[in-house]
Amino acid sequence: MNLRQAIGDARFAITVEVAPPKGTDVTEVLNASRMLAPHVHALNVTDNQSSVMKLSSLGFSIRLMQEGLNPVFQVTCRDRNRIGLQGDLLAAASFGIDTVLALTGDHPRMGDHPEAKPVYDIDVIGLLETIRMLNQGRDLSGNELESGPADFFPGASVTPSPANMDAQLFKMERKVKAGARFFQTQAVFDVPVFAEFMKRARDFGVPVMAGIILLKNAGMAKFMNANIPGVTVPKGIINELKDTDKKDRRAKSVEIGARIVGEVKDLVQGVHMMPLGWDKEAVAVLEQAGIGLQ
Amino acid sequence: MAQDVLPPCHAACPALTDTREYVRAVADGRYEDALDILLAANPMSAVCGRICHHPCEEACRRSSVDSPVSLRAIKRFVTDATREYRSHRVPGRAPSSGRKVAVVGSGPAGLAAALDLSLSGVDVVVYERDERPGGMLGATIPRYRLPYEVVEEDIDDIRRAGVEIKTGVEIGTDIGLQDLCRDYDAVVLALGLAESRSLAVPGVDLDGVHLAIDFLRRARAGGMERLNGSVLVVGGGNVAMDVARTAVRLGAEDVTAVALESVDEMPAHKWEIDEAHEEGVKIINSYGPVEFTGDGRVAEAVFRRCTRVFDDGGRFAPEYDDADRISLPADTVVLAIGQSADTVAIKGAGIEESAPGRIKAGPGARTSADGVFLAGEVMTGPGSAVEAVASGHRTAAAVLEYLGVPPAPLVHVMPSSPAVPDIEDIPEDVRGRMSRIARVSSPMRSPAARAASFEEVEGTLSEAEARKEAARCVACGLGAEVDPDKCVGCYTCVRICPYGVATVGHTAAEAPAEACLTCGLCAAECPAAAISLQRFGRGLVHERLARALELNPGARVAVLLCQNALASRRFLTSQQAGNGPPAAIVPLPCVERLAAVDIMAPFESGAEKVFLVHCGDACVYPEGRGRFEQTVSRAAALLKAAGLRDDALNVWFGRIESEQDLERIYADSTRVGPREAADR
Amino acid sequence: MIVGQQKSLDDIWRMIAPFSRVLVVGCNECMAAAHAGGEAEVAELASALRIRARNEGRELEVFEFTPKRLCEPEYVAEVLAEVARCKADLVLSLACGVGVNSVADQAADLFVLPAVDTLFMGTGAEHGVWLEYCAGCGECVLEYTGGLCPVARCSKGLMAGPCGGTRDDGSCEVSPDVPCVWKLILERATRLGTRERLLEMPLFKNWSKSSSGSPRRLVREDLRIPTEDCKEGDTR
Repeated sequence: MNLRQAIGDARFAITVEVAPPKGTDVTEVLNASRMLAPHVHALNVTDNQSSVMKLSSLGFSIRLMQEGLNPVFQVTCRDRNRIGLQGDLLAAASFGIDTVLALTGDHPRMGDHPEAKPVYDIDVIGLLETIRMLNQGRDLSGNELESGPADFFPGASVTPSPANMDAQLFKMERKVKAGARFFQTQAVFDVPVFAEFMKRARDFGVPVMAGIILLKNAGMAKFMNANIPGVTVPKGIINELKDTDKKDRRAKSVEIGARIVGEVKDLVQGVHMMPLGWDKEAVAVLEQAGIGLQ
Repeated sequence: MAQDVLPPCHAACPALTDTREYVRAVADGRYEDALDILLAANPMSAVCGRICHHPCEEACRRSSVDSPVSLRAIKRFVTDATREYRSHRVPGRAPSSGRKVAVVGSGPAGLAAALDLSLSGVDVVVYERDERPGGMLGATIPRYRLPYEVVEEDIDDIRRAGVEIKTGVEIGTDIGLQDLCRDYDAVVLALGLAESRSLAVPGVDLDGVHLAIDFLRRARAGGMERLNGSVLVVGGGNVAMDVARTAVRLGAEDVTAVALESVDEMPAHKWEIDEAHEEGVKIINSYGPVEFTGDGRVAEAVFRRCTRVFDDGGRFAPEYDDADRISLPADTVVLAIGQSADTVAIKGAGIEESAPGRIKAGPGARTSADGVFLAGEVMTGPGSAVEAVASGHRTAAAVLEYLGVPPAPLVHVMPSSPAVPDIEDIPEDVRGRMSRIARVSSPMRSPAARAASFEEVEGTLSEAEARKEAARCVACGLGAEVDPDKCVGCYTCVRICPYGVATVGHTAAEAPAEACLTCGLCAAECPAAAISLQRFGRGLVHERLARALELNPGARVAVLLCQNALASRRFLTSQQAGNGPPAAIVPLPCVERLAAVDIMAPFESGAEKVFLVHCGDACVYPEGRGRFEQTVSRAAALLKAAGLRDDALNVWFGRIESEQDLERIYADSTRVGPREAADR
Repeated sequence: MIVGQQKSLDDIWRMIAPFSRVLVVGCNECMAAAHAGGEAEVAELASALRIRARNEGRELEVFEFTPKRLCEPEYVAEVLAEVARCKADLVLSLACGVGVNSVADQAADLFVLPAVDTLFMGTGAEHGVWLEYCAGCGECVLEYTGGLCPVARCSKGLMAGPCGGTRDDGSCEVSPDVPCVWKLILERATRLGTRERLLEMPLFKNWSKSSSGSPRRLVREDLRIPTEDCKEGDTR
């Protein structure tokens, strides 16, 4: 069962993020994907995440399809104009990839090619509208697709930032209206704040999957607080990590992740794991939280 | 007058002395120029440096911020510092016009008129009945205020300009006015008000009752006997104060001045009253004399209360309360209730007296007799020396016109209208942003020391003090001028003006003269080079640098210094930078005004090292210091990029009081590193 | 105004290496207001070049000239006259790129080099701080956004609201010095009651009208003075 079906059946959806390598050898990430696949409905393939140049999202999504796994093809507006975006979407569809996560994309300044010229010809709302057009059998200029309507299942992201909640909800609503069928959120750590956000996001009637990042140590938490917009790791969690022996950190990290999953699972319609390399631990979180594929 | 609007100090001077310019000249170290500027308006400048009532200071716009610039003290410094120069100074006369004028009276009015006439090529003879010239300046103004040598300094100058002074000749007695009218093309009567008025009260003819002018004249000549017991001075004017203070010096045990006026109405200058007080003079206000009693010699004076001195129209019309009387013991009484002219000169000449002791002046200072003119107090009524000088200038102009002789270029031409528009007060909000800077006043001897002798009570500012005080002048009206053709309206000036003065109008930036404090930061920062400071033109640095290099062609070190940092101008001529290479010393009105390109200029001329000397805490523009430091850093960045060493540009803050300070500049200046431009 | 920044002296020095008589030409308009190339900066740069030449023992004559602007042919004519007068072999421009092109277009045999990096159209928000306010995109969207431009002032030029990169303090993920303009747009629209207007803004911007299209050219036939060479319809 893939993500589209899980959401269609109103099941508790589970995804995990996998990142293509900086290079041409995908063995390792394929192995990880195989290990993760039984525990999730789909594997999100990141698109030059944080503007760090990697093997393309489309390419690796195709590899997953070829392996019989379920990719979520992440597409950002940073690196392609409307022509490139449509072409890649059609390419994905030709490989049977239908689940797409439409993203604005981090600015190149954040990544390893900070001098690159960003594209942003259209933005994420435009991308969602483009997908809607393709699903109606036309390209953005209104030309008919020779193959008839496409059948994409688009999702989008949202940052449940308390400081910018109004702006984020404004954007989320626009994404819903532009056709987003599910949301994966930025990492959640502060559950009460997230609950506030969900109170309002719930009204859109679109499934929301809470983003879960495993904190490897207190330093990482502090770094995220300082550098990742919209992410706030509460002091309590940081202290918890700080007070834990190095050898027990993984267990602690899993414990915290599982606790958050446990606390948010009734607020949302799914979880989206972002293990950043701790794939086994991501699985452990799901197990400890008692979440499995339904 | 080149400008439409004068600084208030300039406009307030009865002789229209270009105050701002002589103060600038002092700041520049051009003391001789300062003297020339002073003398151009007022030949009695040494005298006025001592005794002027200095309306310039009353008008000084610093008054609204802290206290006025000590202009009279600076003037005194100038005349004292330039005696040598002055003794060789011979004003050029116009070629002889063949006309001759007699001036009767050698007070400041007569002398000023005589000088203007002589400079214009008229042969002038001044007749003075006393044995020495100067009128009241030499005869009655007490020595402790004005030593005669000072009067002579001014008079010598006038003599050098061709004026002949015949002393000991009284017109009306020794020579008749008709004789003068016959022998000369015109006559100027500058008789002054040399007679004290007396009073019609019982007892004025008792022994021991004197008239003020006689009293002062005898005292000045050393012919006044020592005084004992109580001295009563009747009067509340400056002459009364002179009498009272003279009486103190003559040994009187108890000196009291009794004035008809209340404290606020007293015509004496406040500082005269204060100094008299300090010296032990008591003042009783609002009483007028009724009688003096005594057996042959005065022993007591009776006064009654004066309830009103002036009527509603401001005319002198005293009213008394006869019931309120006081009696004061008096061994000596001096009446100082006003003066009149001694009109012996005009007796039988057919010239009308408008009132006893006053002569009526027609238009152009003319009398009813053809070719006979008036000048000074005899025409204007009581006044100060500088007012007499102004009157002398005006009369000379009238005489020249009468003679058909054009005034020489050196003649100070007074505008016909005495009202000259001046710059308004410093606006309140600007004042609020200005720093308060303590005034340096003339040194005064202690009251006790003063009262003990006729030695001069006041001293002269030291050079360091005079320069420090001159630095307080912000050169009102010489501020920022905007070239509207160049202005791009970028608001830089508005944003950096420390005083909130600059504005941007419809066409260009503006800095209203009445508000601009002439710091020049805007001119330094203007990217379009559209602003220039009148007191510090855009070319000034190059000009003065060129001059310094001319003096010292091989200089590898340049010192751009705020001239206000210099306690003495002698440092300007210093040529050695310590034991190192010779230094070109470039004095500037202010270093905060420097743009980066100005700081770089010496390097273009081959300097290897530049020292910037900021006057430090003495700066009148402490608000601009941060901006100055930024400009210097900016210049440092450019110089570093141009390949100069890190020690090429150095800054020193503080005054230069001694040669050692110059050495310290070369040794202890701070190297200036570049301030990096922020990343875009 | 157009905002620019002087290149480093090292870069300028490298550029002018082949030349011996350099006329530094400024612009007493935008580049003056930008403190990059007005008469004062022309003098500064000229001075720095002279000092460096002296320091390195190099023969270099540096002249200065600051016309009102450099973006019209008539101003270029003034510059060319000055070039002839001082026999300069290089025009070193402190005008924006427009000025450099203007000179190059009109003087086929004259070298002209830029000493300024032309940055953007913007405001001198405070002394020493300039902000980009307009991208010259050719199709103004300010009617929808309450006057705040997402094209110029959003790091990504987003058309439909903020990305997830708004920091808690309201700044952009790209730099804490850049405020998230979309946050400002939304706050302003909320205050003015115009949030609905934001939804009417075109999602798909016509970039062909921007600098991404071909070099832009504006011809106003209603203004243009007809000549023999330039007939109606000829937009060359």
